[in-house]
Amino acid sequence: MLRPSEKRESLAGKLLLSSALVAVSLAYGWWQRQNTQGPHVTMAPAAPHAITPQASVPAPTPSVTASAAPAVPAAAPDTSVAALPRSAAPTASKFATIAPLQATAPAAAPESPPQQEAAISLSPPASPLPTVPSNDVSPPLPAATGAPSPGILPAIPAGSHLQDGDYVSDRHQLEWGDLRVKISVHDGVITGAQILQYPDHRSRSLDLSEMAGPILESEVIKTQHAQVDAVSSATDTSYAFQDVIADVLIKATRQ
Amino acid sequence: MRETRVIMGMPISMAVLDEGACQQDLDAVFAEFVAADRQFSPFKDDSEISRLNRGEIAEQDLTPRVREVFALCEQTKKETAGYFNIVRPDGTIDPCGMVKGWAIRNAALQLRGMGFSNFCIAAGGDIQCHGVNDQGKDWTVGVRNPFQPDEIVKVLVPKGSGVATSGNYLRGDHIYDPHTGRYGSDDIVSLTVIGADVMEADRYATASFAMGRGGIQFIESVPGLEGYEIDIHGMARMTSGLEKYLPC
Repeated sequence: MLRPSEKRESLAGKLLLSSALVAVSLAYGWWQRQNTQGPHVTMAPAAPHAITPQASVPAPTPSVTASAAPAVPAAAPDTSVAALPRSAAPTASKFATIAPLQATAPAAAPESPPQQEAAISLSPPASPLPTVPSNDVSPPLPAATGAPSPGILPAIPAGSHLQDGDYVSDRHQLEWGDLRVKISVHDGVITGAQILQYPDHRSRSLDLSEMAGPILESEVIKTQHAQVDAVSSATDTSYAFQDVIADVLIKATRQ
Repeated sequence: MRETRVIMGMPISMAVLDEGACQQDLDAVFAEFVAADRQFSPFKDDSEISRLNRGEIAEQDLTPRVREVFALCEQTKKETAGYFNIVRPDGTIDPCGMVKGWAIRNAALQLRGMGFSNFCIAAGGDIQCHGVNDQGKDWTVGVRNPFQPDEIVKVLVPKGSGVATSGNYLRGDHIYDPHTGRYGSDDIVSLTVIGADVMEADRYATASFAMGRGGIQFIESVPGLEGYEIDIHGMARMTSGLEKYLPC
């Protein structure tokens, strides 16, 4: 039998324990809510498929890695591809250094044809490449406060004017190469900008080069009147038959 | 010796200029094209590909030649992030995008094996030349004007490299983009690729054309390939190394 004072202590202890349990339950519930809301906000932009290396290339960029086996197997043992003349840079050997995109295994392809053939036959069309995450899902950048961090150029003071002349930037080292530009100023206005050097590590600088500026020469097509030995075009039967007739005529004139 | 025959639904022209070339030599090379067509054409009911698509052949029973082509297709698919894909939307297999260049390359190797040094093979717009032409000069290849098919807009001197063009201006949208499920390619109408041999040029031309605007950049990024792209507005873009294939 408990004495009244002991009973009171026991009751108080039970009340204290109950209160503690309620407090823990409430705290757990609050913590659970916080954790269930959090990932929706923080995980979505970092979805693994959205930022895979492939996703960052609108047009795929091959990575250059060491590859032991040539990418293209020879068709016949006695007349290998190397029998044909190559341009100044032998492409066959260059291809041997090109790995398929990212995590693929290039050497395995020609070495295990039955497996690949099975892959071709059984696999459905490749799923679309994930797209680059757009800005609206990226977390907003924090507002700039305080003094600029080292490496950020100071702003041009208001009211200052550009001196006429040509200005060449220092060489900026970027991840895949160097970038150097020249601007021309006339009457205080920038009249021209020229990229003197851009990242040109061809196999890895595709995206960066596209951002830096156009690297491919353009021209308006115009008719050439030169005599050629053959014509390259997309396949078409109707025009192809014109080629047949043309060949026949050529043959006729040479006999 | 010059001769043109229609095989694989396209004219195949062959010029072998070495002395000693005879009709039997050309017949032997043309016979290989016929064999490839018989084996790979998805349009022939009795081809190996058609029988595979109908489930009449198990994959382990495919011939080594078909396995070889499938391996090349799979390799190209990987190298081009899936833009080269011989599995059609309906699940059937159509390796035509590889077979043409593969067959032309084999023909060139066959001629070389016969001892010939000066020849040109042109099939469906894909070209493999070797040696010199009948004037003792480098073979020249014209890029057809996609808007005026009887004109050329660029002259190339491949010097033994292969040349192939993909486009949608002549045969309709025959290039399938497996990523979008669409045929055709943005506003690009023609993409000519120069590669180590015609098979390299052909497989990359097919895949990079499916990439649309990014195709020429992809060609630029691959060592050993050069390209000349024409868009629907008549503007051309060329890779930085194409110059070495232009006439002096």
